[in-house]
Amino acid sequence: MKKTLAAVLAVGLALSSTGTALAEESTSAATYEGSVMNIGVTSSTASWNPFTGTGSSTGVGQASTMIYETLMDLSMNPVLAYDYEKIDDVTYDFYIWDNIVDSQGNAITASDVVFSYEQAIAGGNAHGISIIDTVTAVDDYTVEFTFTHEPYIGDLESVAGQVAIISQAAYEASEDNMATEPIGTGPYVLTEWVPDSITTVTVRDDYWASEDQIGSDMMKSNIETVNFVVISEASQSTIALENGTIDYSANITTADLTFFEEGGVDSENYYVEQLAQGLTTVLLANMSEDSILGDNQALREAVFYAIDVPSIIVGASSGNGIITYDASNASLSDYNTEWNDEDNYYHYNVETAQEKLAEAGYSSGEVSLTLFCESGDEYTNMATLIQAFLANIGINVEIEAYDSAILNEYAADSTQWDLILSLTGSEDYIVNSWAHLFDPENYSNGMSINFIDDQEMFDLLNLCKTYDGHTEENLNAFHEYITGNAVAMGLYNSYTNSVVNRKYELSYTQQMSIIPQATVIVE
Amino acid sequence: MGRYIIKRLVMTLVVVIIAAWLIFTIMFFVPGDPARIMLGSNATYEEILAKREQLGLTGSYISRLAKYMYNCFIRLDFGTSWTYETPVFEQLVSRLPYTLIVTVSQMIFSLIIGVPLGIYAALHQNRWGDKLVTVFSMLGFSIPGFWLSLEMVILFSLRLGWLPAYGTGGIEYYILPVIGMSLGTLCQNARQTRSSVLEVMRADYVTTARAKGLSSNKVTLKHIMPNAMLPIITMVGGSLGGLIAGSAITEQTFSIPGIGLYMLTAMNNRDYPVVEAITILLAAITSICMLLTDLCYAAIDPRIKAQYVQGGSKKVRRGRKKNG
Repeated sequence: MKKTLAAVLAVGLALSSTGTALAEESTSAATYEGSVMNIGVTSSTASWNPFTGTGSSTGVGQASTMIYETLMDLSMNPVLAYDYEKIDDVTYDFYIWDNIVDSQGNAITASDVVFSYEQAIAGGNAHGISIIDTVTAVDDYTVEFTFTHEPYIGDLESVAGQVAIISQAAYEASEDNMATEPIGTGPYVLTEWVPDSITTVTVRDDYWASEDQIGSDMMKSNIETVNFVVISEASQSTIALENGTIDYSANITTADLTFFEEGGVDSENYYVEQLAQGLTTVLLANMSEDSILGDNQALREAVFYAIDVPSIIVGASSGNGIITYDASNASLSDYNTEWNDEDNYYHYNVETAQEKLAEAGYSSGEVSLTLFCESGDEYTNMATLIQAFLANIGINVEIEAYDSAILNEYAADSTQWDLILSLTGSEDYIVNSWAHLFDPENYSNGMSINFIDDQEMFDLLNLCKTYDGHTEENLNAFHEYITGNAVAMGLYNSYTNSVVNRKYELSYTQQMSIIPQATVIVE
Repeated sequence: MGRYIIKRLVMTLVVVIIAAWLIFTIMFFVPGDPARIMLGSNATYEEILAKREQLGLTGSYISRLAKYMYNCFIRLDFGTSWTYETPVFEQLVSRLPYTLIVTVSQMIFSLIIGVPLGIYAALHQNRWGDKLVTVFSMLGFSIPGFWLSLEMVILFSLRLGWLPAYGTGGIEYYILPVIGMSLGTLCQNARQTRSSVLEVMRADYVTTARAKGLSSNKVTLKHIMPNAMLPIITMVGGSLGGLIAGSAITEQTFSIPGIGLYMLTAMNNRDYPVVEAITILLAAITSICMLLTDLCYAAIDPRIKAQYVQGGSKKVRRGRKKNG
C-alpha cells in the first residue's frame, strides 16, 4: 500500500505541476458538442442542499451527482480523492487532488472536506456515515477519518461515496444553504430548474479535472446538456418517447413496453433495458409472543411452503422479477447461488405445507393471520396472492394495506400483525440487506424488525459485516439461521424496465442508476 | 352593504383560523413519521430521534399549536418546507399562477360553453337540439376527465402533432389540460343551466312578458336569465376552491408545477408546513369565493341586496296594535 501510495503521490505531484495546463485543455474535448439528452423522471430534485435529504441520506440525487462530487464513487473509484490509506483499524487517510475548484472558482482543500462531513453529520442525515468519529485535515490535501469501530463491509463506500464536498466559503455565503443554487465541483452546472417541471444541467467549461484525473464515470461530461423532464404519469412517458421529446424513461408500464421491444412499432428508435432493482421483497413472520407464529416454527414453515413465488412474480410484477432464496438481493456479488438449489428451502409444496400445518397442531380453517403490506398495486396484488395460497391450505388471511409512512408506524407494534411484506434495500452486499431487517440498532425496541431478540444471531450478523468475517462460511451460517428458523422468506427483486433511444449507450452505477454524463452516442 | 362585507371578511378569518387548527390537529395525530420518511428506511432509531428534534416535532400538542398559530397569523410565516427547504410562502407564490391559469381557464371555458348550451337546450326543449345537448351532457359528465385528457393527448399531440403533451410555456400548453379536464364541469353547467332556465320559463312574469309582445330574445335576456342565473352562480362560486383542490390530477397528468402537485408531494412526505399552508390557502380562497358569490347575488337580485343591507341581525320590528 505504501509503495503504491508513493507512486501515486509522485504522479500526482507531476500532474499538479501541469495540472493547471491540463485543466485548461478542456475536458469538454470528450463532450459531444451540441449534444442534448432528455431524460424523463417522475420527480425532480426538491432541494439542492448537498447535506439534507429528499429521500437519500445526504441529499445527493441523480442530477445532483452531476453537480456535486464525493471523495470517491460508491464503487471506490477515485473522484476528488485519488487514493486512501488504512492507518490502523479505525483510522483512514484520504488524499485529494490539489487542483480542485468549484463552479464559482473556489479552491477545495482538506478543510472544506472536513466542513462538508461535519455539515452532513450535523444535518441529521448521517445514515451511512454514522461510523465516523472524527474527521480532521492533516494538511491541505489530506483528510483523516477515525471511526467508532472497524468499518464493516460497505462502510468505506458509504463514507467516501455519499457526502458531497463543497466549499465552506460558498456554502456559508449562500442564503439558503444552496437549496436553490448549488455550487459544486462536478463537471456540470445547474442552468434551469423549475421544481416538478424541468431541471437542466450543462457542462462547465472550467471543470478542474484533466483527462488523467478522471477515475470514475461520475466525472465524465459526454453530453453537453441534460434535461431532466418531470413526467409523473406513465402513459405520458410513453407518449413522450413516441413523440421523441424524451430519450429515456424508466416509468413505462409493462403493457406499453411492447411498443419498444423487438418487433414493436417504436423498436426501430428505442430499446428496452432490464435492470434488477436494489429492493427485495421479503415476507417476515412476527417472532414475538403476541403472534401465533412467534413460537410455532412448524406453522411458519407451513406458511412459507404454501407460497408459489414464481406465480407472485407473474401476478404482482407482470413477470418482471428474479426470485431470491434468501432475505436479500439475489444479484449481489456475495449472494451464494447454491442457495437456489437447496433442499431445505421453502420451495412451493402444498402437501408439505399441509403436513407442517398439522405438525403445528392446527387443522384447516383454524388459523387466521393478519398480513400487512404497503398500499400500491404491486404490493396489494402480492398480498392477495399470498392470501389465496394460504387459503388453499386452510389458513385465513386478512390483508391490511397502508402507505409507507403509516406502515412503518404500525410495523413497530407487535400486536398489529402476523406477517408483513417488507422491502429491504442494498445495492452492494447482501449483509447490508440483512442488517436493514435484523440489526437491532435500526429499531427502537432493540430487536429486529420482526421482534427477534437473539444475541447469537446479532453477533453472527455483526461478524458477517466485518471484512474478515465476511466469508462464505459465515454468510451461509446466517442464511441458514434465517431459513432454518423460518423467520423470513425472500420473495423476489423487481426489474426496472427502461426505454432508451437507440442512439445512446448508457452507463449505470453499481446501484443501477443511470449515469447521464457517461452516456455514449453511438450514431 | 359595506358593513355586510366587513362582517363576512371577519367570518372568513374565523373560518381560516378554524381550518388551520383542524389541519394542525389532524397532522399532529396522523400516523407516519416525517423524520423517518426524510431519512429513508435505513435510518437508525437515534438518527430519527435527532431529526425529529431538528424539525421541532418533539413538543406537546399545546405548545406546538400555539407556536404554529402565532407564526401563521401574527408573523404571517408559514415556515420552511421540509422537503424543498425553501419558505413555503415563496413556493406558493411561484406555483399559484400555474394552478390559477389552469383552474380559472377551466372555469371560464366550462361557463362560456356550458351556459349557452344549457340555455339553447332549455329554449328548444324536447326538440333535437335539446336531446343532443342532454346526451352530450350525460356522456361528458360520465367520462372521466383523466381518461379523456390522455386520449386527447394521443390524438392531438402524438398523432397530429398539433399540441404539446405536457409541460408549461405558451398558451398551447394549456389547451389540452383545460379542455380535457373541464368537460365534466362544462356538462354539469349545461345541465344545471337547462334545469334552471326551464323552471324560470314557467313563471308567470315570463308569460306576462310574452303576452305583452316582447321579443323572444328580450324575454330570455331580461326576464329569464337574471332569475335563472342564481343557481348557476352558486355552482360556479363554490367550484373554484374545488378546482384548485382537485388540480393535483391535472398537474400530475400534464406535469404542471402548481399547487396541486406541491400538495400531493407534501402529503406523501408528511411535509407538515406545506400541507398546513395550502389548507389555509384553500380555506381562504373558498371563503372569499363564497363572499363573491353572495355579492353577485346582491348585484342580480335587489331583494337579496336588501337583506344584506338590513344585516339580518336587526330584530324585526313588530307592528303595534293601535288602541281603539
